Amino acid sequence: MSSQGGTVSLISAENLKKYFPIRGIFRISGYLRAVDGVSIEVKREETVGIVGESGSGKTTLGRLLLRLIEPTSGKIFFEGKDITSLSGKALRALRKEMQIVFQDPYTSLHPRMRVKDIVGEPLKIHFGAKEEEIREKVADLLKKVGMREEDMFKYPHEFSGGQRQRIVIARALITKPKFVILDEPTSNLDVSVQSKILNLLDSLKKEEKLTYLLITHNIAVVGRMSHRVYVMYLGKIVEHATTEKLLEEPLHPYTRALLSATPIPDPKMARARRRVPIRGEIPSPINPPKGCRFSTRCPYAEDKCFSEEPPLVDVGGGHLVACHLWEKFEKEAE
Amino acid sequence: MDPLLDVIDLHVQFRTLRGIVRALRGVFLRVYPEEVLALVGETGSGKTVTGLSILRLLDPSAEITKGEIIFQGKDLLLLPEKEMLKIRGKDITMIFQEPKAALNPVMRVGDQIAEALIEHEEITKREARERVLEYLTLVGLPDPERIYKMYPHEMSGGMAQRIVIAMALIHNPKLVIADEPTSSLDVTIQAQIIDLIKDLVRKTGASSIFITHDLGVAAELADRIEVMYAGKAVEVGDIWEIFERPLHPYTEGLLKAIPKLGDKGELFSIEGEIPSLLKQINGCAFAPRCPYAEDKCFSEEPPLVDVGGGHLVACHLRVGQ
Amino acid sequence: MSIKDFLRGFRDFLTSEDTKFTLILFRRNFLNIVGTAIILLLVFTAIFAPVLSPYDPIAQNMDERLAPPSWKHILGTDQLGRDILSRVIWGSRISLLIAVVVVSISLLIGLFLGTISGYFGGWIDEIIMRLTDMFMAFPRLILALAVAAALGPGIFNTMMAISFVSWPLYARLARATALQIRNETYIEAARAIGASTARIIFRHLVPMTLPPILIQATLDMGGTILTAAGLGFLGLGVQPPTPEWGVMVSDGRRFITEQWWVSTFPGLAILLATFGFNLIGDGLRDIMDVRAKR
Repeated sequence: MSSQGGTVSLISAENLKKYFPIRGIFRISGYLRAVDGVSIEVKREETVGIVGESGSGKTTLGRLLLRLIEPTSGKIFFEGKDITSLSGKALRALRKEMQIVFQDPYTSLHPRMRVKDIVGEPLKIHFGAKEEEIREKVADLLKKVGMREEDMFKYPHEFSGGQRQRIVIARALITKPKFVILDEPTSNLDVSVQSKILNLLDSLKKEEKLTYLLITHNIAVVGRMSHRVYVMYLGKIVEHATTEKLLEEPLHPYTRALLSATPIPDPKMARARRRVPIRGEIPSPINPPKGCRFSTRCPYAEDKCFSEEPPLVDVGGGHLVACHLWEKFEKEAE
Repeated sequence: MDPLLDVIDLHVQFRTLRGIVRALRGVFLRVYPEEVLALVGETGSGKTVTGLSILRLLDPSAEITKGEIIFQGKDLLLLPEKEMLKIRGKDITMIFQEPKAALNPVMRVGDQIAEALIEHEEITKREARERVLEYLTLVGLPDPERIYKMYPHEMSGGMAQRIVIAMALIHNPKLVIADEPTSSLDVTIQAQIIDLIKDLVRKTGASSIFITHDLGVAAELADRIEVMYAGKAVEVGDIWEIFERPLHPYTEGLLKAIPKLGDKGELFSIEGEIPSLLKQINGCAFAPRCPYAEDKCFSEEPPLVDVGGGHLVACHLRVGQ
Repeated sequence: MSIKDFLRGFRDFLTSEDTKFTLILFRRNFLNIVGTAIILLLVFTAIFAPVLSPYDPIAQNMDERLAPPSWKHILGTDQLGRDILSRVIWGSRISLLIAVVVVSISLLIGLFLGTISGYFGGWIDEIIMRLTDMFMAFPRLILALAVAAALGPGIFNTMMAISFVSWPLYARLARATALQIRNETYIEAARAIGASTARIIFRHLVPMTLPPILIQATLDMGGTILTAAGLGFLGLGVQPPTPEWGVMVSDGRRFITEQWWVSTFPGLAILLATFGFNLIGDGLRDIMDVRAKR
């Protein structure tokens, strides 16, 4: 997928695949197709959301973009350059430009390192910074994420979940990266803390002119923060549109099911809403269903859906859908 | 109507290496027959401890220092363990967050449910199996014969949770305590389980205390909601009432802080942090974070007061409205 | 990745909350205190040997040979008239030195090999594990004997021999921890910020492998003293006239029925030292189990 118009994308992936081999005793018995031919693009200073549930491949996709995992095939471009086969020093140098905020603040900070060393480590690695400079920069950044300078001498366990996540954010931003992947940044936090962290991420984006890729299962969060959204199911993109379009006119049955399943904190609306009836469990990415991957659970599936995999088509204005029956839903949506 | 379960002024504390944690500082809770009560709170609110206290499943380092839990005319806290065994798993059952952790990994799931039956009732193995198959269908599992023979690790999270729900319901309990039963499930599966629970509560007439941190989930299935903060209940009432007219500043703040589909712009956030339960809390626990707090709030603890229509609030400033 | 970083790892480990908790729990058990007291006594004796020792440990005095314990010679004298108390006191230096050096060397070798084995997996893991298998297939003392016999007697060779057979255990422990935590998010985070493999291993992995390794080290101190004494007893270890406890026990074998003190007191010293280290090691291990259950 190429960029639109003349705008250069910051990071993009072309037909990315990641298959994890499943080892039997003597041979490889199959593959877990975590990401199966995904092309995405994120432009400068955008926030792009990736929405999906277990097995969708969204987390693996994030790791692939950062080259924390090696792709089985496909290409990754950063600032126009092909970074797919970078390795060693060059790859590590790239890390100061692209960072990630992890989901669980309780396991993403080294339990035996002080905050100062955790947040300051990237400076040591990339700039060979000395102790004094590190203290200064870490102090600055801690204040920026809403913590105090003294906090740098403490250990992670001395902080609450929300505070830890701020430390994680500080570590991600200390080398002034251009691109940050937010992997479920608030899913493990309390409600009252989530809003603070989301506001923080928002303001930091504007201040530091960051580009975000937001990976989450929470549609409300994605709806609030992203410009465009990709919906993933079992390793493939099933729909892509601007946030407004996706929320108003979802065309793929899975997107519609996801939206209708999201709890609404309003009893009247919650009970008035009709759910899209999807059956059964999410299939395993080891043996994905033939034809359309969603066919086994789709309430509208027809014969074609079980035998032929629907291509991802542009139905107008950059809205992409992978469904044989999308026209039906276009008419249904207001 | 008489409540099915009445928790009165429950105080629970834990002895830890860092000192005494006052997890529950005087909890009041009522569940009526045939209703779903959502028990909502964040970390440290005490919602899980409350659930465990009712069934006396607390860790040995826990001490119940005060309070009564009245169920069917008896105080559960005073019952000898032998009596409690008859109630636990039969009249009051519990569902936990991680379904696979509640299931025996080396036993077929059908047998596990049957075993629970045989424990409590005089019933033959064949009769038990029939009943189990019945309930497997009731919880929405297709092909119950095949499911009966499966092992927990062969199932997905959603399926395993249905098994646990079947186990919890098979004795026709009066009360089911569900502790975050959907928090570890995917959104679409969560929706299925929520719909299932709503359906089953109607069908079996059991009451449920549904513990959750997710107000959206509470809105989907609860009849009444109780909001907890730092070891106490701060607001209780009808689900429609609480969402429309939240009286307690914490409830108000929570509702405003949830990101809602379609909203843009900055999210409301509650100032400050949840207080430490290691220290003695004077006055209202929420006062340091409350935008309306007055002097009285810092010195005097507000009691839980009924302001009419079953709506209870623990706040000096909101009582009398 | 500098040495300073590596040392910071140690410092962070020592000042962490875990360590503080461990010490609190440690103090609660009386046996641990006893063990600590014994070892402190041992260390004190070793350091202040020249001051504490009433006589020169290698000074012979044939007039007073095989003298029983008396006020003049509190623990008696041996077959060459040397004061046994002095020799036991000076022996503590030897034993402690051997213990510290051997444990340090084998710990460092094992820690390094085990960590990279666990972190990389694959063929590196295979090779190193087969190596440890080979070494661990033999009983420690037998293997140490063989190596000592090959290298020849003397304190230096003794230390090399025992180190040679002790490292596999540390490698196993380090590998176990490395396997456990190599997929933890904070290790992934280290890669995400661009840390080199060396940095990940030495700054991130190693501080986490330290607890079980240090416990093993404590227990090993006792075991090393025992092994060194064994080698000395067999004549393959430290050579006379150096006052090593094992050699002293061996020397007194001939007189065991009549002049029991020549073998007994150095034997008691070995017992006490090993006992002290074992108490501490067991105490630490019990604490780790308790915390693992928590």
